[in-house]
This record gives sequence, C-alpha cells and structure tokens, in this order.
Amino acid sequence: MAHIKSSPTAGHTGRLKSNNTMFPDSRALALMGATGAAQTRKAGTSSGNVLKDAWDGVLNWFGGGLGKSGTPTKKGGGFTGWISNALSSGEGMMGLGSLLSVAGTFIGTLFDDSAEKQHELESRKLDIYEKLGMEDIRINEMKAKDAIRQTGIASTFMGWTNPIAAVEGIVEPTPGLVVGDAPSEVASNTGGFIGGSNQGMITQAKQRQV
Amino acid sequence: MKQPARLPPIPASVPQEGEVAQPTMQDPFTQQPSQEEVSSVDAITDEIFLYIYKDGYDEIVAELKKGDDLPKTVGNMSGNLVSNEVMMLEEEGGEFPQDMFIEAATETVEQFTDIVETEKIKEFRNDTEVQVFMTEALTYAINSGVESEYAGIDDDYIMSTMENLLRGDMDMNASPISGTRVIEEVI
Repeated sequence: MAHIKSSPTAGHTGRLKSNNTMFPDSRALALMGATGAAQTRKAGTSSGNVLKDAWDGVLNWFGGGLGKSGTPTKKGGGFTGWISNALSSGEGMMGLGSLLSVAGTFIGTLFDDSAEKQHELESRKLDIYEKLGMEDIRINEMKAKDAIRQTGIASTFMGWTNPIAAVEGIVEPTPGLVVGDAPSEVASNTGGFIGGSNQGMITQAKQRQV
Repeated sequence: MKQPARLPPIPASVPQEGEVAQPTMQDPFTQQPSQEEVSSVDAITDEIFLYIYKDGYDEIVAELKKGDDLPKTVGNMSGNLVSNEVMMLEEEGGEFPQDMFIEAATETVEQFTDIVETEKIKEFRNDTEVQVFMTEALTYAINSGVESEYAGIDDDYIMSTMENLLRGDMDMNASPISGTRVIEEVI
C-alpha cells in the first residue's frame, strides 16, 4: 500500500483551491462504499478487496431494488459500474436521492446483525422494492409520453399533423406541430396572435415546451 | 425618444471569480460545518497541500505513474496523509473534529485528481468520469483512515456516519471549493 509521510513546513498562508470538486452525491456514494466495506469487515466476511466489499455491502442493503444498475457490466462492473450509473443517471438507475430515502426507512435494521433485525430488514425490503418499482413506472410513463410526441414530430406533412398521429398528447391535426394543452384553445383562436386568420398560431402564453 | 416596446431580456447571472456553480443534484444534507470546523480542516489540508506541491511532488507523481489502480493509489495516499496529519496535530496537543475527516480526505482527493490531470497520468473524457474516479478514491481514502492508527475513525464510526447521512443529519457539502489554483500563495 502506498504510504507517504507528510513533512509539512509551517509559515505559509493562503488556500489552495482545486479544479475538481466532488459533488455531494459522489461523497455520499463514497461513504456508502466505505460503509459497505466496514460492515463486511465487522461481519468477518471481508474479501480484502475494498471495492468488492463496498459493492457487497450495497447489494446487501438494496439487493434487487437496484434494478439494472445492480447488474455488473463488462465495462465497469460492481461498485464502479454502479456509481458510474448513479452519477450519470444511467438507464434503469434509481436516483441516489430515492435510494437514500428508502434506505433511511430501514436504518434501524441496517447495521444490526441480530437475526431478529435481519428478518425485519428482509421484510422491509419488500416495501422498498415497491417504492422503487413505482419510480420505475413513472420513468416508463415519461418514456411513453415522449414516444407519442416523437410520433407526432415524425408525422407532420406539409406542415399539418398526420391524423394518424392524433393520439393522446397530440390533440388534433392542425397546421404545424401542436402538442400538449395548447392546441384546442389555439386552434379555435381564429384571430391568431397578431389578428390574422392563421389558425395554427400558437400563442406564447399557452405554448408548451416539447 | 421612442420607448422600447418591451424591456430587453435580462441575461442570466455569470458566476464571478471565486463563486462555485453548484451542481443541481439532490442534496439531502442540511447542516453546515461551523467556522471552527472549517478552520480545522484548513489547518490540516494546508499542511498536506504544502507537502504535496512542494517536498513530496516528485515522489507523489512517481507513485501515481506506477500505480496500476490509480483510484486506489490516490485514495490510500490521501487517507494516509490526512490520518498522519491529524495524529501529528493531536500529538502536539491540538484537536481535530472527527466529523471533518471525510471533508479533509475529500479535499485531498480533489488535489490529487488535479495532479493526475495536470501530469496527464489519466485523461478524463467528461465530468462523470472525474466524479467516478474521485468517488472510488474517496472510498479508499476513508477505508485507509479506518485501517490507520488514527483512533478517531473506525468501522463503527463510519457506519454511524452513514446512519447520520440517511437520517439527513449530515452535511456532505461542507465548504465546497473550486476555482483557480493558487499555488504561489502556498509555496
């Protein structure tokens, strides 16, 4: 192990500032890893590999609740792959905030090795997976809505939305791509926003970002 | 003079020198360290940075260059430096708040990451890679502190710190720093 002894010299002033600053999430993940390693060491199951122990600890807490991010990949498996996903919001990755939140619900059992507490932990994991599953559903809903909008975008012809694309989220075929809440009100606004008769004009006030 | 129809848009504020654009990530931590705690961290890290960039620079760069596992090397060196410095301080009768160990280790890891970049020991393709690198390194650094002779950090302490984090009692965003390196001031 690398070991360098410090030999500081007194009498200087000023602060040295780094070009690289760790995000709070990065610190939290590092602490989670170090805690996983500490826990395996205390349990006498340490492998001697810090990152492996860190990952074992994280898996022990969240297990299947980690979703895809719990699956080691070729590129960066285990702990490294997981933190990479967590920090880049990779597909299938639960937000760190969600993980911390649900982990907080079974904090009383997290570091207690007694059989009773471990049984309680296993029971509570079911609740946690349910919460994480709901988060998954929300993500899938967002993806589905986005797919609908993409359909609308890809289906315009001569500036008119294809009637086939008149699905939920694309209110009705109108000139140009009109998405979301705006179309029904705007389409009936025969005055247009500068007093003309262009029915396709979307007022800025009602326009929805797509 | 004709009045403009509407006011020109007000440009978004530009971060000034010394200010830090904070990441928009979730920050579940609420407490801020006291001025005393920040000063304690500064006292420790000033000594470490002085060593890193002066007497120890060549040795450190050589060590980093031969390391197969760079985050591990950076983390272990950071953890050792902080542990040693704190122990030296305590031997001299000084005190160091236990809760600030991770903060001191974090700042040290950040400096080592600067050196890794500057010396082109590793090239990071994006910010996420840097964060992943530092996260791994800090994991090793904390672990190194636990395994060191410094009594302030052990397995139980780390686990209780994690408990505090999960309860939202802990501030992991203590004294964020970023900006221009000011080596001249230190050496």
